Amino acid sequence: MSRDVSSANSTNSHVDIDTPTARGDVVAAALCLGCGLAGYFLVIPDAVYVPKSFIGTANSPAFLPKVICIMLSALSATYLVKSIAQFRGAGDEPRSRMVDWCLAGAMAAICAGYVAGILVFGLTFASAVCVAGTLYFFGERRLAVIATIAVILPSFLWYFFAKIAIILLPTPVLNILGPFSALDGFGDAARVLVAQSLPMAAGWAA
Amino acid sequence: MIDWAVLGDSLSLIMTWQVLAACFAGVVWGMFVGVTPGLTGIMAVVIALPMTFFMEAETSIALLLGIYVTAIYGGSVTAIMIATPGTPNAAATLLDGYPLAQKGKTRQALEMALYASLTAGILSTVIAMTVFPVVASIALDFGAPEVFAVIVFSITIIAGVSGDSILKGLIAACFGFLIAMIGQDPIHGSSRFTFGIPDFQAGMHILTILVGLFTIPEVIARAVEAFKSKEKITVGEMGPALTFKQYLSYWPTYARSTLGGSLLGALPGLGGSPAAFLGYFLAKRFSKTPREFGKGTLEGVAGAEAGNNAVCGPALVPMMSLGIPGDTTTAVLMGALVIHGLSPGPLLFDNEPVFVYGVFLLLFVSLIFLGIVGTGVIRVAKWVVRIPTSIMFPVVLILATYGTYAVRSTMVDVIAMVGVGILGYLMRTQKIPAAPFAIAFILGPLLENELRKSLIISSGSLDIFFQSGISITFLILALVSAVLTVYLHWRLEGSDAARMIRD
Repeated sequence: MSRDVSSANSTNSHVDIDTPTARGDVVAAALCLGCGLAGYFLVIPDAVYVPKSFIGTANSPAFLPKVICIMLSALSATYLVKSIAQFRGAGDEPRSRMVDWCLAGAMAAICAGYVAGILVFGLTFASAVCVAGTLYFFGERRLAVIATIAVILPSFLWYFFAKIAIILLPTPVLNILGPFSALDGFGDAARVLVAQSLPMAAGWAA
Repeated sequence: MIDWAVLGDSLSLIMTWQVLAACFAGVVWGMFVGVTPGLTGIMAVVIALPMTFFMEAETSIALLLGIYVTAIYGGSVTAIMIATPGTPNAAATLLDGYPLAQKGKTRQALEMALYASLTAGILSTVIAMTVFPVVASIALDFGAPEVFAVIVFSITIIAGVSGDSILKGLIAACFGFLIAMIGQDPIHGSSRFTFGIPDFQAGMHILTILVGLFTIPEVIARAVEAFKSKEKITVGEMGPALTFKQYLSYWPTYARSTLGGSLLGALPGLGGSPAAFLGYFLAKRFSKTPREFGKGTLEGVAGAEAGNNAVCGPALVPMMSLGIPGDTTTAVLMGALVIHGLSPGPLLFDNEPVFVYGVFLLLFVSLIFLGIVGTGVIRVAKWVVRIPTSIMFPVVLILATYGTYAVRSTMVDVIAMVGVGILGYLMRTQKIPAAPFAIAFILGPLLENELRKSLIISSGSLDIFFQSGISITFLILALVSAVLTVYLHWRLEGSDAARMIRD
């Protein structure tokens, strides 16, 4: 397993968050091993339904998942052994900054919050809030830019997906934008008005 | 061999303004769908299908072929520019295309993707036309064990795209296999890893996984970078154009990836994504600079794009000659033929040779239009790369979410996208590669399906895999490929170690 030697031997006390460390490898390997073992002993018996006639055969629905879990456990154990050996040899290895992890965690939380927001407030409203929040997080401080994007982008996407592609958007628990659906009626009325008035206008012109 | 007299008649059949206009409209629509995450080629073809009811057969096929060919390329534009594959076929292009864009070589990456697509499209169509009858007869010999052997061979790609550590690549692949098993078991329909959630029964969609693996980690990484940076960072730079010399220098890559893609294209059920990864793998395997793969090399883009676009022509061969669609898109194309009174199958070539050659000629016409429209898209791209990342990536997050939701209109896909995205980011921090995960996710269900079908046929005996020359050949190739990859990796590691000691 190769390592970014220049960064590992760096005299700096911190490394970039994308640079793998021996400590991180140990944690990752342990987690992978845990996933493999939990998958084999806990998840597969509980979450894979096997018809009685196929129990223990290679044609069982659980056969390949078990094989993969065994492989995952074996590979992760090897990874763990190698990474522990590297960790011992690494000495005072530089760490990635805690602030970087907090920033990454905050962005991941924004993504998770966005999903929760979609379920509660609907895709359009949640997207408007999320894009505004994310723009701010990314360093955009011009309120006019944030407001313009937060209004135009979700509105355009709503129109494209709901009205042109006819894709049913998720129904939220709190339908905040529900009253705005009444505007559809105004839109239809406007279209009918235009469609009827154009021939009349043509007739007058003639 | 090609019947030139019939080919002349086919040319006069398709050279009408209606057919050409339909083909151009298909190319424009296919490009739009390709560059829009969440809208896939199959969706574009299905949306256009009702319009073809009132068209002549050749006009309707022109429209659908235009979409089919272009949507495959279109997905690579967003993959290169914003790390979001527009279609699943573009995942392999992202591996080197996006790093090239980050290096300020966006234009070269986009042009290489376009020209490799065109080259592979033309070569594979010539192959399909020339060996049409031969391929049709060989395809009949591919049963479950043979297809299983081909997939086993394809899975050796994982070792080739594992980056610095094969061990980490294999671990990522195991996770990909396990995620692919969520849903109904392909043979008995038993629930696996659904935990009683009905929306899990249909399994995870490939686009959900790809957007989660590649786009969300990039958004998180860019957020960390943007938050700390005091300067305004743009998406990238267009950089210099691809020179004709650069394009010519990758001819062996186009040829190899086209052959690999054509082979997979002619086999029913595999489709463009495995072909793209096979093309990428072949490019890396025979490259003089395999270390550059994954860091931004034109050769990687050329291999992936040649691989996935080589599928188009050959995928039509089993559809037209045997009535077996290679993937869902060709299944819809087959439906269009049936709607117009044509019966795909062994007699189609005898009864309608002019139409069959016309279909292949329309592929060439689609490719010409793709060249024109694709060049226009690259010109537009120069405006996109000037957008600051502080605006682009929040927008990408929203587009990715809408795109993921739109594929199946279920929130489970959006939740899975974010979950896989966070997992993908954690993998990225420890340099656990995402590509093996994606390959395993794509090939896993195919592998299991063919394995279990074979075992049912043989009543559980493994002998079935050693009874035909085709399966034995591919299993030996798989073994050789795996051993060779591990050996080459070890040798490269050795040379690095030697360099370290020397330094």
